[in-house]
Amino acid sequence: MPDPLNILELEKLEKTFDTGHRALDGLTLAVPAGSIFGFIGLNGAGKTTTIRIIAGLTSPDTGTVKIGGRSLAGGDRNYLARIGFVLDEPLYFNWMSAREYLVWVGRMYGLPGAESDHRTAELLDFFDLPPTDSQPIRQFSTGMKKKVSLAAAIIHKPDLIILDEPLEGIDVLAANAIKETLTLMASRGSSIFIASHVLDTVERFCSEVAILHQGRLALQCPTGEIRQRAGAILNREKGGSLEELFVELVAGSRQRKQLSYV
Amino acid sequence: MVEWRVVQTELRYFFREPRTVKWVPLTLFAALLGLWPYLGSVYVAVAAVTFVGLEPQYVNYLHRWPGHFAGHALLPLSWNRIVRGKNLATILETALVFGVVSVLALSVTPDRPSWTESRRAALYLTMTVPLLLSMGNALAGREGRTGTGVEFGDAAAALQMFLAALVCSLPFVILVYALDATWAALLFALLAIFLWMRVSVPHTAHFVQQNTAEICQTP
Repeated sequence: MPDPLNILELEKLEKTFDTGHRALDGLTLAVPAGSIFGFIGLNGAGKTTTIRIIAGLTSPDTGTVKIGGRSLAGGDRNYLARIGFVLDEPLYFNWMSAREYLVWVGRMYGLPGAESDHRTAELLDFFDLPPTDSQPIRQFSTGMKKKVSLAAAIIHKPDLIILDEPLEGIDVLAANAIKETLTLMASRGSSIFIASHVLDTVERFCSEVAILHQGRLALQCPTGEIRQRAGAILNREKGGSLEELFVELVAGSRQRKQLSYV
Repeated sequence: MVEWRVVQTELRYFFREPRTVKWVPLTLFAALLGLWPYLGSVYVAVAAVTFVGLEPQYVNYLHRWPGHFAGHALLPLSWNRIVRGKNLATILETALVFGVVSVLALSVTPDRPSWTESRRAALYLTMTVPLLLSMGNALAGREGRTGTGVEFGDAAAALQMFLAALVCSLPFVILVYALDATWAALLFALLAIFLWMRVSVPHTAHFVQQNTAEICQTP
């Protein structure tokens, strides 16, 4: 039975690529509605594969994805209207200007022309993006491209925003503005799913955190419980940080290496 | 209307893509070929150049630039409308290119085509374009290549398109030139349009819907 309190549910997702790499190994997790959900893991842990499966860009070998309790297996694409994506890949339609692209995306999400124009103007101003059509997106810096991608993901005010490393390559002021925007959207009912490997940001910014390791869920808990959980796992009375917990769960079993010449 | 938005985007990209410059040698080639007396009509050269030059729009329309397909896949649009929009854009581009290349080719050839010849050219396009669209739809998603440029794959695809255009021209040659049955040619054109709209587009949309993840892996 789907839990109505969860906006996103993944059940036993498995994915092995043709190369033999097993990206997901029975991943099961639930994202509570209205939460800012941090999805962390090492490079290659399966974060991007998970996001691509949710987006329908990669098919899982087995397992199900549910958005708002509805399985995506039926091939219905209407669920995409409720989601905004910021993927790790280069921005699509990068031959357009930021303004053209945002207006176009707004219209494709079904916004009326005037509303799409209005939101575009506001987003361009908010993210300090050029309001003219003189420069195509492909000439933008990495940070600017990320901002356009994020603006496109939120132009239709989605219920769920899925972001893959959203703050990578973005300056401090823009990152701060983005975090404030996402927090505001979460407070107004949107759910935010952030895949990242920047633990500091996740610990301070997210309300719930999940650690992915070798394609499996190693831990999921509210951020407020991290100190206590870390204490229990590390056998420490004073608790511990997310970084300590992460290192223990992910690298605990590995042999620590050292450089002989250092 | 989603289809119209797709048409607009395709046309905008058509005029902006840097490879638009390829039309210069192609138009010159059409003009030179048009001077060849054994060709029968300058429109033959114009049609060949038009279809070869528009190969990406006919066959590779899901992958015109890196991330093109995935960009559409992330939006809550029906593939039926996207495929139809892209096909409609291709029809407009075909009409535009055929018209412009005709004017340029005719400006350097000494013979002026007769009114009948021009009418037959229009009938030829009406019969052939739906067939080529249906062929392109059948290949789209199956033989996509990410982006198009001046590479071996593009040359091979252009040759494939030329051969396909030759095959799709056969009904016109048989009905109009061999049998002189213009009414049958018109009927054929209507049937081709009907099959493109009612069979090819929905079938392609269904295929893309079922294979979105696989098509996203196009190298």
